[in-house]
Amino acid sequence: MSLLLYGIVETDGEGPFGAGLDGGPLRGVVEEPLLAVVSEHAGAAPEPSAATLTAYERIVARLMDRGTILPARFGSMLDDEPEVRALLRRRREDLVARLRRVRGAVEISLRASSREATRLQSDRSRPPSDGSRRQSDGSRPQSDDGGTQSGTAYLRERLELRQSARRVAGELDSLKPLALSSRRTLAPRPDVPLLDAYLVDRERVDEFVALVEQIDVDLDDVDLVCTGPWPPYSFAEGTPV
Amino acid sequence: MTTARTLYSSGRAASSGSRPVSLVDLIDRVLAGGVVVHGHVTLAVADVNLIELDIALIVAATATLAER
Repeated sequence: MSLLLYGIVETDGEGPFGAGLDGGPLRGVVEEPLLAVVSEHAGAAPEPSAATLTAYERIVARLMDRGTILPARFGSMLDDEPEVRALLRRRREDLVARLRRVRGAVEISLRASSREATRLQSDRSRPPSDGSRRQSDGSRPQSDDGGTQSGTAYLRERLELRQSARRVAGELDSLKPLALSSRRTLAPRPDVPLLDAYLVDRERVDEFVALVEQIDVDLDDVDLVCTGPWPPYSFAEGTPV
Repeated sequence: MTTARTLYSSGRAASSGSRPVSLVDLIDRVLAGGVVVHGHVTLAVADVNLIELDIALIVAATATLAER
């Protein structure tokens, strides 16, 4: 029987913690001043289906309601309690510092989508009305000159995407004073010039979202989508927040 | 319980392809974020792509069924 890790809290957040993914109780493994929330789990890590991932996130969100938590990545399995305590000992300084920095805060995701790319994607997914745009063998449509997209066109698209990402990034600079920390991914996908994660004080979420809405008014060619509040998944590893 | 949801959305960007953005953001976070333990994290990047593909198919199929 292994242990599935959900997150790490401070020891003043002791249980009961409710049920885990398998329906069995969550319990705390203490290595002062930290406590790891785990459940017993037989066999390999749970299958990462949409339903399981959603259930996992709800459990972590419930734990976040109890107090500050550093969420664990889905599928984090440890052999037994001594291994959990060893993890808490080994990373004690870093984990304590991160818990302190995310205290009272939540994560907000901000995604900028290119309107033109979204429109093209939508058009491509729609069946052609006269069949002229789709090849009889199901291969992708050719360009007007009879060839598939050239390397030059591809590079031009990438360059435009990067330029668009930098311009949008500049527009979003005014959000930074409202956030305790932020993470930015430029152009993670052709239709997404920018994907941000912000660590925002719980009390300032409404103010943050209102500012996003205000910024969006001036952005003609991208749509903004804000989701949250999430446990601070994007601030649990990497560069110290 | 605090439930993550779409807090703001402009235009038609509330979905990414055939998936709701909130589900895409959830997958991004639980599979690619969070504390990484020294022990056994069992998912590789290739698995993530497969999962996203599966979910895209499921959501697309559900949407198609709903239209019929």
